[in-house]
Amino acid sequence: MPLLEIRNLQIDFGHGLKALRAVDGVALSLEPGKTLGLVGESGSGKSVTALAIARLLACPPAVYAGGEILLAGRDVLRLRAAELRQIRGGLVSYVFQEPGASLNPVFRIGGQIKEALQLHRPEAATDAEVIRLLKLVGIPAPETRMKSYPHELSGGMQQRVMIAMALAPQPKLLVADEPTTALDVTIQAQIIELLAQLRQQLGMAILLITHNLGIVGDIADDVAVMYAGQIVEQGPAHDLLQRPLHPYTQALMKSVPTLAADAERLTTISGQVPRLGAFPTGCRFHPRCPVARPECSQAPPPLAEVEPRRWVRCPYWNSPSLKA
Amino acid sequence: MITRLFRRLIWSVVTLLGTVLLTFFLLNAVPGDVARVIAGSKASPDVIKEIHAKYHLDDPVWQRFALYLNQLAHGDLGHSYVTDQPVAEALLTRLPTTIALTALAVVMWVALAVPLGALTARFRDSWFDRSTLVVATVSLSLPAFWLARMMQYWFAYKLGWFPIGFFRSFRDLLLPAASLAILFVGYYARLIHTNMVEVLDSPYIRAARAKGASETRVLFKHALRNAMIPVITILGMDVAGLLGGVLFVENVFALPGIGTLAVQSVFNLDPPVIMGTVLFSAILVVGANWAVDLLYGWIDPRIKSAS
Repeated sequence: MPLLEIRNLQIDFGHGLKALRAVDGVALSLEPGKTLGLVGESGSGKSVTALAIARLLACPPAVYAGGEILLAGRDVLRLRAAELRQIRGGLVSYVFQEPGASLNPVFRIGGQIKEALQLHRPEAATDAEVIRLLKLVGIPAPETRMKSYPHELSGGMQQRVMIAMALAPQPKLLVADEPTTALDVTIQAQIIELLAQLRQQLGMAILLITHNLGIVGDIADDVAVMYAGQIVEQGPAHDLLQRPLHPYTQALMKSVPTLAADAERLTTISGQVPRLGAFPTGCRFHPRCPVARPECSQAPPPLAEVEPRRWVRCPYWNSPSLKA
Repeated sequence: MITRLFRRLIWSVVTLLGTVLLTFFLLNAVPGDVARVIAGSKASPDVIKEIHAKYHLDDPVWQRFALYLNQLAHGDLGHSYVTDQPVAEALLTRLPTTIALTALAVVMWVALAVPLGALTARFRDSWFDRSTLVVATVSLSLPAFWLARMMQYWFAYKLGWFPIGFFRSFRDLLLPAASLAILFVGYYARLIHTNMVEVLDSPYIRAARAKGASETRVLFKHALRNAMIPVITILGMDVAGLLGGVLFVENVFALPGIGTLAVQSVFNLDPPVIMGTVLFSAILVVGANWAVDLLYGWIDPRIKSAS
């Protein structure tokens, strides 16, 4: 049984006629101990999907309009508040984008980690366990560091504290929502390495949300690419990055800057991410697609398994113009 | 940190000196002969002359000011012209009443405003939030003298739940303190509400929920302390400025506090006592500033290391 299975998830912002669908029919599955990379530009719905797993979206304005989120077999969308609190932290933990803003500024970091322990492993809520966790995430001199306030740490150290806090209750799933976006490049690599190493050590599954394809290649087993609230391509990470099938994924790959290429300008995807509520008809990518045909604006294409374990939302994935 | 404390100290002394200077010269400009006040309207010119000599009333104003400062420097606030009681003694005997009244009022309004502010922020735009807003607006618009009189009339005179006045026991303070608290509770409920709404939107609140913290814990542990940071400054200033409201309330309920002393001294045209009560309230303001500074460092760790 998969640890996480999202079926046909639909999330709106607002009600009735004013409702804007941010996530439209997303399906994902994650086995225990595996890593899934969820990739997409800002506004693609990837963070909304990630937050929905522990029902962390503020309702209102968000509305869970349909679908199921099965976490260890139980539908999160149907849990009562008390059960939800058990799941949050206990089964699924989060690491957020801005570690500086995600740690409470008025409490010592040791206390914040201890709180996570008190909520889920009260018997282990000791200084010794806090120190062990800080050591685990590579924080030097944990005995003195645990008495620090968040603002006394660097961004990288703050993110390590967030990871220690997320790991404290020994969750089965770690959702890392752009964990390195706010950090500088050398620190990014360290944090990703730390996540990869902890996954090995602790055997937990990771859902990594990012817009950085390079990071995905380093750590993920599988990748799902989101565009305008839908998954447009999904498959094993190695294969998908080597041989992207959807025109959007191909464009994304082309826009990753490489040191080898001596290009004058960075390659970009023409046009802009469609605004929420203003998604184009038919294929949502067609106005920006380099190989779009007239039919693309008519019927919305389905997500189809075109090769074993390779899913693509484009009926023309196999056409000669795309293979070039 | 040391230079900052030193600078603050200098400023505190300057503030106090300025207050003394201003009050002294304003009092000097008030028409009326103090000697007449002391001796009564039927006193003979000789007696008036004697009093003038005794209190240096004929000396130039700057000379008398120097004399007063010299006196202050020796820790002497002078004697009342009317009762001959030392001013320091008059203040000290009345201080406990005023402190008890003020403390009780502050406890009442904070104890009410914190849950009101927090819960209206949590349940924003609910009927509970909206009706609290209406009540709060009414409460902060009430004038102190009117409210104190109305409370006295209804709860003490008509309903007889509380004593009408005087200070014999703690119970006598409930109604006057409530009159003060009502003036502030609405304002503070809104203030805490506004800060709380902002704090509840911050990433660390989402992180606390993601940890599995209950809503009560999120609200009163994670959010409240952050939301109270700006409130502390205003609370400090309001407590210091509360003497204004205390003035009315103490007089309405005939409580023997600093407020009644201040009003009496003005009616009596008793300069040493007026100077004493004004200096006292200035010390209160300066002291409140210090207290806010210290509290700040405790409630917000970022401030301690920034200074």
